[in-house]
Amino acid sequence: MAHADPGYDPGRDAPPLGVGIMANLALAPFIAVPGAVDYLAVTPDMSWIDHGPGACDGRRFTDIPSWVAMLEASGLPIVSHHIGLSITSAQPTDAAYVAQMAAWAERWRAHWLSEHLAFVAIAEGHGPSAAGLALTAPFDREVLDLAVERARTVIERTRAPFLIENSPYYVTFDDSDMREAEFLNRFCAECGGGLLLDLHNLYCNAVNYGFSGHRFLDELDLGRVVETHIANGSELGGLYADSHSGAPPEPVWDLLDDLVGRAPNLRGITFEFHDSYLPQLGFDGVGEVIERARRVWQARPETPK
Amino acid sequence: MSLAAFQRAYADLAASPRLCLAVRADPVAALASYDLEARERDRLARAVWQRGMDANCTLYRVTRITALNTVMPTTLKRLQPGLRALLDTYWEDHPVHEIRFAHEAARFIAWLETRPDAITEPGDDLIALARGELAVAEARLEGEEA
Repeated sequence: MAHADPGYDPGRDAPPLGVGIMANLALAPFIAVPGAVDYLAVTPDMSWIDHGPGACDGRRFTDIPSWVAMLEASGLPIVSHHIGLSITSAQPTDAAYVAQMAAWAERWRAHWLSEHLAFVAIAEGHGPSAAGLALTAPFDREVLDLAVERARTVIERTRAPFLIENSPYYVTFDDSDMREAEFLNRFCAECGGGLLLDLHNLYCNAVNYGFSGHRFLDELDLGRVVETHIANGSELGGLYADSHSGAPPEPVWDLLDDLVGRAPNLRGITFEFHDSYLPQLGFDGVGEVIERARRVWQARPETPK
Repeated sequence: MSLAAFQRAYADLAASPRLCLAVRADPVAALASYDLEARERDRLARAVWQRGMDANCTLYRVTRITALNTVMPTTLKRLQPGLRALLDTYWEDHPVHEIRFAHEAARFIAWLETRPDAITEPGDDLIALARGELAVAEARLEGEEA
């Protein structure tokens, strides 16, 4: 399969999954209930320890047993959502990390892989180091070329669909070469990838920078959207931040209603929340979000092939 | 090299409110050590005036304190009320984030040992507590619940 060919639609290879949840260990009892969710989105970086390139016994990545046990017990379909590729970083691609992405996806039969449109690896002497947070680079041609090249490497190495997630950003560069939507559309067209459209990230940016999220959807090639995220956020220094603090606010549900009516290749809706908010939300609250999302999913006008 | 330098400088700004203020005051001087093109320097000079740069600085601190609090929550509580100033100094001495929580905690413990004056209670007791919490965290990560 020529996943890396421009114009390739990753949705064609991925089955419709339904409504899933971003896995965390606190959710293990919820996930274990049959039918509670349709799939798990997993951040593989949470399930392993990265001992670094200089690992003494040559084993850079080792399992965290509690995560392995939870995933094995769930028996649910899995999609892989990474945080360590640093796709727009002006550092050399971490080949060992990409190999680990592929190995993990194969082991757990991940239906697709995804990564955030951001950089976390920065120059430190002659090698990379971690920035301490994910930052969004300007939407420049040079950055797009970097991201496309890195995505092609992942697609060729994993032979699996690869999605880019739109990020929340708290600093903007208004002289960027292109707008965010154009950047995302070009990324997909040039590397053969798809979109993980995070509607809460979109909502954050819309609130902070005063634009319409629905108009943003107008600018996107929605045929590229394979997965979407819903979440909640909180105030941070006069801005609205993507803190995954509980059930999605109504504007995010509105965006979801809008999206599913226009994204024919959508394969899954994932609810994200941080485990530290579980005491407030409770398993009942999680279940209510999943059920509402399922109603939206079931009402979508076109079932993916 | 320029884009790499831009990303490095942007990350350094997110890590340091002090550097942000320096760039506000004199962007050319404050960014002179980075191999930036004029467009990149101008972008950063404008960025430090955005309220979102404050949010980035906060998020950076959240990330870094999460690493320590995950491994040694009791130690951090015992370091109150001087914890904030202590961490400011630690992060200035070690501005590069270590994504491996246990490594970050071990580095912090080693740094604390060089700062006995900053610890209000008997230093040996506090270091022993920190090492104990680190050992438990490492055992948990390895699946050998202590």
